[in-house]
Parts: sequence; structure tokens; C-alpha cells
Amino acid sequence: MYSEINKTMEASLFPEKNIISHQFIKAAKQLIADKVVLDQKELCTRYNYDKSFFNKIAKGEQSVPYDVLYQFVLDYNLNPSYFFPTPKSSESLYLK
Amino acid sequence: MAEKNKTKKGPKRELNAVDRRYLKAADILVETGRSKSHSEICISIGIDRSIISKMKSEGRSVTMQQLEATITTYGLNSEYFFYDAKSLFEQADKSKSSGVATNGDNNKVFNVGQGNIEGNILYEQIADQIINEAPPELHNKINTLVLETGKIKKIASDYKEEVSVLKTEKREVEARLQKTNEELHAVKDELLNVFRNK
Repeated sequence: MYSEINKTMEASLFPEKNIISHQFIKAAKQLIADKVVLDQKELCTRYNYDKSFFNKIAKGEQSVPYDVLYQFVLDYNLNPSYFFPTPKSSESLYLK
Repeated sequence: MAEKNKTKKGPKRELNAVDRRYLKAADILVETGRSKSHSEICISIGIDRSIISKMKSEGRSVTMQQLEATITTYGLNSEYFFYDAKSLFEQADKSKSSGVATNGDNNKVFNVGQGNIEGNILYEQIADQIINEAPPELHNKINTLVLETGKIKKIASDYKEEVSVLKTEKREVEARLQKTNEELHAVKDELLNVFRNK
């Protein structure tokens, strides 16, 4: 029941396929803004995807692959709660 | 056909770290009584009830949506699924926990959709978060819906009160009617006696 409500809400709130993909795009932009990574191309190369990878996720054409998210979180020491937001979770991208 | 199924199924895949942690989390949810069974976990997050058992038997991987739904529904700590030595349950946040029951391990017990106080509080928090994150053009619609819901609740409450008053009036009228009937019977008996004596 909850996940159905969630899906409906997600569909109307952002173009990405789901909240995790939405947060992933936000996180990638944040890493670029913080100069942790140079650009999206660097991330695409690192995870063996072509340069349209980010556009596809941002447009909702595909979800962020599970293995990419997992490795992304570990590689940049990120806070997983950022990708799975709950009312109690921290909104910080970086792990304290 | 059977041959086709055999080739389709293939050998059991080796589970990755998140899958293994997910299965462990599912066991903990059952052990701690937060869920009765693995099937109940599946049902509560809106997936096929056999998914967890398929993860165990076929090495099927957890999906991001499944993981997200489980974390949100049971109020779990997402760090548990990515890093070692992390607690499955989020630490109680004192600033947000006023009036919320906590268990002996200082962990909140959230059972969304089961109609308990904690679940309702979580729903309210999720609703607040969704409203805050919604684009401004949706705010008016949300506010209108909230106002309409308030009005409907008020009307329902007024009707309830009116029904209660009417029920009291009905009881009083019935009592008066009963008394009048008794008096009429008494008069009738008296009249019958008069006629009999004649």
C-alpha cells in the first residue's frame, strides 16, 4: 500500500524513475559542484557507462543500476540515507 | 517445456553484500517481532510474497525499489546495507520523538499501515516531507485538499453530534410514549370494570 502511494507521489514530483535515481542525479551534481569529481563523463567512465547514462536516468528512461549506486556510495564514502530518504534520515550527502 | 524451464532457471547466483545484508535484515525483522514472517515483509512493501524466499533459493537480487520500500516501511538505517558494523535500526531522534513510544533498545517501532500511533506519526512525517519537497505549483492543490479534508471531518463530527442528540430525543419520546400507553391501559381497564359491574 505504502509503496504504491510512494510510486504515485514520485511520478508527479520528479522526472526520474524513482526517488533513488532522483537522489543519485542530485548527488552526482553535488560531487561535481564540490569538485570531488570533474564532470559526469568521469563518473560514466568510472562505472563503464557511455556518456548518455546520466541523461537517461535524469529523463526517467532508466533507473540507476543497483551495482552502480552501491559502488558510488562506497567509492565516495557517501551517506546511504541520502538515497533512501526517510523522515528521520540525515539529508547530508557525505558520511559524517 | 520442462526443459525450457530448466535452462531458464540456471544455477543459483551468488548473493552480493547488499543481498546478504537484506536477508539478514529480513530475519532480524521477524526475530524482533517487527514482522511475523518474510511473506508479511513482502506484502507490506508491495511485492510478491515469495521474493525473499526466491532470494534465498535462487540467488535472486534485491531491487533498489524493494530495498527503498523496506527501509521506509520499517524505518531502517540504510547504512546497514552498505557499510559493515552498522545498526539495522535507526537511533531514536529525541527532537522528533516526543510522544512516540520506544522499545527497550531505544529504537523506534514503526509499523506503517497497522494503524498504531507510531505508524500514524510516521505517515504524518512522510506527508510533511512530501509536501515540503513538492513543487510550489502543487502546494495550492495540497492546501486545498487539506482544507477540504478538514471541512469533511468537521461535517462528519457535526453529523455525529446531531445523531447523538436525536438518539437522546428518541429515547425520551419512547419513554413518554410508554408512560402514555400504560396510562391508557389503566383507563381502559377501569372502563371495562365499570361496564362489567353494570
